[in-house]
Amino acid sequence: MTIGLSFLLGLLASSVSYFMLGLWWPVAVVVGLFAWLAFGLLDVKMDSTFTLLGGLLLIFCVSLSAMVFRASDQLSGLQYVDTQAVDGTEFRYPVPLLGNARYGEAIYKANGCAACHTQQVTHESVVLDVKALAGEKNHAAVQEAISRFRNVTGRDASSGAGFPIGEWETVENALDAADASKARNFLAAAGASVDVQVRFSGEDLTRGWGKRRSVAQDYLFAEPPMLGSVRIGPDLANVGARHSREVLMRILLNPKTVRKNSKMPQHRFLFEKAGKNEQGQHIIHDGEETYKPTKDAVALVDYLLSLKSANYPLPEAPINQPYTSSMPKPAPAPAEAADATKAGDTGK
Amino acid sequence: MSSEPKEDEAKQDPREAVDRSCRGPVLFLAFSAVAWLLVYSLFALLAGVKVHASGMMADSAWLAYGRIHPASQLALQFGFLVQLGLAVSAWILSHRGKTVLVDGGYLIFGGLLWNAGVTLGFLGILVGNASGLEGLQMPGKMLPLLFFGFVLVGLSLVQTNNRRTDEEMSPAQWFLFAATLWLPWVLGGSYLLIHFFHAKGVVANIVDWWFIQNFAKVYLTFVGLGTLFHFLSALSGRQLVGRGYAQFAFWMLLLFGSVGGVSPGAPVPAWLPALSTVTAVFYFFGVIAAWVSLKRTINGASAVNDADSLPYNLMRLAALVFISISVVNVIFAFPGPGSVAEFTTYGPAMELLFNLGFVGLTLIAALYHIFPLLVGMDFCPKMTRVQTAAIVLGLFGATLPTALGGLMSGDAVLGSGFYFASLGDIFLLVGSLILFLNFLGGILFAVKSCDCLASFCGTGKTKEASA
Amino acid sequence: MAAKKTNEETETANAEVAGPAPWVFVLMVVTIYWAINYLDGHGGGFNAKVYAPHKDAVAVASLKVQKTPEEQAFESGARTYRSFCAACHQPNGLGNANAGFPPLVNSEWVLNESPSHAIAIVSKGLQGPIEVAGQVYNKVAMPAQGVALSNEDIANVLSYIRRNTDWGDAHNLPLVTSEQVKTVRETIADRSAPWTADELVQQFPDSQ
Repeated sequence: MTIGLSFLLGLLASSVSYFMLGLWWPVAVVVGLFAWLAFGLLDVKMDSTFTLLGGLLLIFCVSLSAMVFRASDQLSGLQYVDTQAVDGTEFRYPVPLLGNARYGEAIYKANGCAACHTQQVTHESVVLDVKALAGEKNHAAVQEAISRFRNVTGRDASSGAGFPIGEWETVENALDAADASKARNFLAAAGASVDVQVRFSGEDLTRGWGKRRSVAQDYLFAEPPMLGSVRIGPDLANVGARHSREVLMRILLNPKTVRKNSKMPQHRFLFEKAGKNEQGQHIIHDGEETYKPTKDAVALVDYLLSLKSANYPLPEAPINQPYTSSMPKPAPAPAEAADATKAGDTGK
Repeated sequence: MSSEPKEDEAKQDPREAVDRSCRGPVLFLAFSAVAWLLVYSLFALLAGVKVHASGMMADSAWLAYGRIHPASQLALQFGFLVQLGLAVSAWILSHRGKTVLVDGGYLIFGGLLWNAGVTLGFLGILVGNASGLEGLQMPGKMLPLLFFGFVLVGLSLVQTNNRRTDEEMSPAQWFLFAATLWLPWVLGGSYLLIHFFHAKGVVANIVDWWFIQNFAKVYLTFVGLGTLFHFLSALSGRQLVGRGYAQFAFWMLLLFGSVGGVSPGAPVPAWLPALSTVTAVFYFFGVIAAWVSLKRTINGASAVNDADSLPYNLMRLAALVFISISVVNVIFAFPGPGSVAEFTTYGPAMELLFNLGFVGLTLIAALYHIFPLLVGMDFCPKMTRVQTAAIVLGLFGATLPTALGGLMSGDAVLGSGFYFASLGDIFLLVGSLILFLNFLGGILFAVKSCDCLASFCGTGKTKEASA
Repeated sequence: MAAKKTNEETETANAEVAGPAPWVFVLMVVTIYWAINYLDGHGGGFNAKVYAPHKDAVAVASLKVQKTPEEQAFESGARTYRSFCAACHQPNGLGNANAGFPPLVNSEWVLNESPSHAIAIVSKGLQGPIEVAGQVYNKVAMPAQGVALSNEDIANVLSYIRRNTDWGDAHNLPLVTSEQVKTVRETIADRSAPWTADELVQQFPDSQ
């Protein structure tokens, strides 16, 4: 092989070892030199099965180590982490499947629900919103801080004039981390109360399928994580928080009664006919028939109700933290608190 | 071989000998493959029907959509593609190497094991023992069976290749040899990592994606390209042009096809999707190189023999499908377009287009060429035309509208394109049924009308050749 | 019918060995450069904790709501209060007159300008009668908390009770620093018995 071509291949080998395999750089250089020599000096012919076999083995090892083993090193040792719920209570996450839910997971797996449903939430971007509360004493300082922030970050140079007193007001939306930090520092120095909220945005989140993207930690106890790859039906990562037991039972029995255009096939085999006049909380009426769930259906719904991931903050995927400052708490956003707006609440 | 002149006989004898040695094993594998294709198309149609008429057969757990869909994929990939690939590889490797097929019995026994594994896996999924991982849905216990079945077949193929008369190997042989080794390694590795060492959490999914990537982008692609490299030059009578391109393509496709396949939104650290994008770009270089070599080899020629024009043109169509899919794939490997197509029906549609439109078509076309040589009996031409049209129409009908629909909807409208997919599935079912019947009919006719029965049954005496 | 034999491959040793032109390899090198940059920008440094769309671990860490040191001290103090103090003084700081636990809300011992009294009480405990907001409490002694709490913990919990506006408008005093706590504790290090109210006032004659 020519010197030039073999040099390029050596360069390629070296880059691969460094960037894909993460080898220490002198080792990568050595690998590159070796490859250059091998290709240049030795007559590497394709015709010997030995060459082919050697090359195949080498590439197989590279592919296993670059993709599988490296990922395994990083992700196999995951353990519980501590996180907190919205009301501030701390708990260990993720919660393992308890009781019937583990059997329900086997039912989910057996019936291949992952053929139409995913269990992974994705997002598109992360932005931060900054809100501030100014009191009478520091109103002027706060307005000046806002102007300074806007100047420093090259934003619309309008001053902070018109900033209300005693009311939480948005200073800026959709900031990146550096700008949000600056805003917070300026405003805190001026004595205002500051609230920085992390907001994940993306279609999945707009649909209410979760509060953040799914990460590996969420699937610690799944055997195996049935992530799915097609969304013929909605994502189920957080379905336990969205639907109740009755709705889920009904969806399994006859999805069209819950959603008119549903493409989901009926799963009547999970139910058995109940007597005409049988009473009980599990009885479902479907047209003229009466059904009650089998043990499999109950387990499956238990499993679905336990799916509540993508709700809690993690170090790699933080979400809105509950506001726990010494400063007065912000008033709820107008959309969420109808009574606050009705009462003309101007914050605390 | 009755009234041909002596010198032809001398020239054809070695080929005859090779074909004779291939006959049993290759036909057995090919027949099983065609049967599995029929099973696949039946179940795919059934799955499509369940989406439209949700109340149909809802009382049967075995026919739940989530069970028949993965089972049909198993039938297609492991039952049809792998087996037909092995059959065609055996034939090509022995002919290229100018040697008889060595240890054909291993092929048959391995094929039996493989069929047993696929059948048990298929039934296992329907019963409810699926593994939950896409691409490896068969119950974990079946994997060793499949592994050993394939290894036995592979032993025969490797020995055949080793006994070749020319030391120098052609690209077809490289690709097919590499494929024969690669699948057991990847299958065995996946089994060990997932079911034996119990990969925890998303690591099991990462191994699964690694397997899917290797199976499609390395194993199936190599089988398809190996077949194309052999037949496109043989059927057009041209010598291979651009051996260096083929060499470059081989190593690029192998190195970069074996890493990747992680979708952009996956719940894994960011480096995995980024790595997938990078390897997809380099993989595309390999695809282009293979394409250039094939294109320059054919250079617009048509088949030397008229009888070969159908397989030849089918293979050219398959090559076209391959390059089109590769272009589209490299675009959608980037996270921007990728996240639009993610989770839509685009993914499964493109996968089906690749499986059937490239690899399947190539192998079926190769079968059209090989079958008459082995059986001594052509396929019925009219049936062949009908089945080809049905398969091609069905294939494109089942995939293209679904892919487009998936893209256009983003994931705003879930499950778009299904109606067309079902229409396409009907065509596919018809086409594969006719192919199956054609195959069966050809064999039965041949068995009836020639002395093949004697050689099948291994009786000592040979009847006089009839006509 | 016998099928026609086609011209199978006849690759001779003279088959054209053309390979990709040199410019292809230049293009590959350019692509390698692109790939390196792409992995840099999107690969998250191959870090297990960095998920798309973040660039690196620093970017992820910066997403956590940045609390000022003041807020952090306050929250830490709140946690300490819940663990150590709330049992007797109640989570709402009102104490329990029947049981003999004085309130912290609007307590002059807490809201003193100088935190020395409070630091001393927390460190060594209190015994004997003490008048808080006009009422005398003499039923139980307060155990010393100084063994379990570090200087910083005491500073934080005192900051919390002195700044918790939920308890009243008067609770708006500046943070207590750990230096202040350290100084006071060094002064009283010799003492082993809990304080009485009079001793406290004697030791720290700050204005009430």
